[in-house]
This record gives sequence, structure tokens and C-alpha cells, in this order.
Amino acid sequence: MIVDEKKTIDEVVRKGYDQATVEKVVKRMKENNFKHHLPIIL
Amino acid sequence: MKTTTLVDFLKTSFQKAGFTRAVIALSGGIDSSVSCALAVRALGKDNIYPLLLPYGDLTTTADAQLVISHLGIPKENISTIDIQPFVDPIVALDKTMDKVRRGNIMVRVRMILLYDQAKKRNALVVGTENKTEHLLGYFTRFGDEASDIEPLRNLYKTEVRHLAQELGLPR
Repeated sequence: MIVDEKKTIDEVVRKGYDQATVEKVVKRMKENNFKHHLPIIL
Repeated sequence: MKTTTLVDFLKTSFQKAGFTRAVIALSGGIDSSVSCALAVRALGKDNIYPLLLPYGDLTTTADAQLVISHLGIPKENISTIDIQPFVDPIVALDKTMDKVRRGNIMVRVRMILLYDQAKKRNALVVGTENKTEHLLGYFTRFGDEASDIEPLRNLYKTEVRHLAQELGLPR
């Protein structure tokens, strides 16, 4: 939902998902986002 | 996403790149099995070269063999290489080695062997990464994510499971 439907964490939690789990997933996505890019160049 | 869409994507991409053969690291798990099944439909079973890369006795090659025979891929197309003799000396270089680093080394050794097979066969590497693993970053850079084409990258793990059923893969 967060990726495909651009929902916020609050909106997902209001649909009945556990807040801690949602936050953990989003944190992991952010922390590992660097893996999706080619090497950073000047 | 429909099977035909994914098969057409593979077919068209291979044609554009000027390749007819595919190599794929097959663990026997659901992702590599589905990727392999799609590649068979797109390119024909004779053009698929599965690579089995067990670490010593820690092996799921029996599952991979089951998938290969189910898909009718010729036996002479299969290569099996034990990665333990390559992994262990690297791991032994550092006494502070932990499980995550060891895992990274294992998948990167597999990547080296996979790309060597691709060169040998004049083939492209078909990847096995799904959207769930991709978004979470649950992969090793230049390791298990290394590929030339990714048919499952837009499918969540749940969708890959459905696709496996649709393709009639053995459970």
C-alpha cells in the first residue's frame, strides 16, 4: 500500500495493520534504498 | 500479471539484446523455479542452462533436479558446482567473520560462476528477485541480485506463489 498506493504509515495502520510492523518495514525500505542505485558519481 | 505478459517480456528482451540462450542459478526454491519456467516458455527448454551451486552438503539440488525434469530441460544443459572450496578460503581470511558477511561472500561467489557460465554459453543471466525482496533490500548487491533481466521484479512474493501454481510447478 505504501509503495503502490502511496499511503502513509497512519493510513495503513488505520486499516488494521500492526504499527510496529509497518514502521519496521518502512525503516528497512529506507535504509536499503541505496542498494537500488548505480554507484554515486561526481 | 499474466503469464503471457511475462513470457512476451522475456522473448522481446532477448530478441532486442540479440541472445537466444539463458543461464539461471536454480536453487529449487519458488523464485528461481518460476523464473526458470517462464524462461523455458519464452526461449524453449533446449536454450535454458540451469546452474546448481550448492555449498558442500547444504544442498537443495534434489528440489532443483525435480524442477528441471518437470520442465523437460535436457540433462546435458545442467551444470553443478560446489562453492565450498571457493568460499571457505575467503571466509578464513578474517577471524571476525560473521554470518551476514559469510552469506554475502557465498552469493557473490555464485555470481562469479553464473556469469562465467553466461560467457561460456553466450547467454543472458535470468534473475530471480521478486518485488518484496527488492523493496526491503533483502539481497546482496552484486550477489544474488546480479542479472541481465528480471522477470519477477514487479511481482510480490504472494504473486510469485500464485504464478507457481498457474505454471503447474511441483510443490
